[in-house]
Amino acid sequence: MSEHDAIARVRSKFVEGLPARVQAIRAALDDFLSRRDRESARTFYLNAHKLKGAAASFGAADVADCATHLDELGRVWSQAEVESVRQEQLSAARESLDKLESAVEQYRARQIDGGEN
Amino acid sequence: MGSPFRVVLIDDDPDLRTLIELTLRFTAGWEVITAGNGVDGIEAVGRVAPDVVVVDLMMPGLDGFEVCRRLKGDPKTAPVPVVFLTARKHLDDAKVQSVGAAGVIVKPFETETLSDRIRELCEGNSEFPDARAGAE
Repeated sequence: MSEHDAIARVRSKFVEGLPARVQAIRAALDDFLSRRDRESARTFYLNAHKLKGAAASFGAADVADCATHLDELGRVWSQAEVESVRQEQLSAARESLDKLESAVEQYRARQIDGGEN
Repeated sequence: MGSPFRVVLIDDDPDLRTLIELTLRFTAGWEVITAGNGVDGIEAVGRVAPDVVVVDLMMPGLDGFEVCRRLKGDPKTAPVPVVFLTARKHLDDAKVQSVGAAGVIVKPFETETLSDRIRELCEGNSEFPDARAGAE
């Protein structure tokens, strides 16, 4: 397999897997909302952080930007006293998740339109 | 021509792991051994004696700091330079140095220059095989 083909294949796999990554972040946020403990905060942080790093590395800048806000929230929550997490932050996380979902859809559409898949 | 430069790459994100693996293999001709978690990565380092270890900082289970600590705590693997990969822009330099890491590469990285960056970070390490750097 040529270098181009190999890179195209992994990029395609990344694009295909994006909705599942967003779903994992959403599930982790729901879990944090119900459990309100440091472990669930860390899982949320880990998922958002992974997407931020992968999206940036694959050149999905808008997706990375949206994931960055969630990553920052997750980092704070995983280090702070869970009781100190404010309702506004939780609402902001939900808003950012919606934006992330939209950014993912647009990125996927661009990749498919561009024939990179 | 010398043997290929050998790296153990530890990252739990399979897509990113593959992208980095392909990048190092195609752009620099390095031999890349991959692991999806810290435990498997440490085992691979002991098994293949790499020239350098590249490890993601934030992983479930053993994180990059802990992987580095364990590698530096074993006389057999301690000399191997360890480079951290992270998406965090602001890292505690003192913490990085305290575990004995050679340095940090922040994502996103430039694919064309990733191998050069890894080499640069490891140049101060006496065990790093500079003589093999131009052998690919």
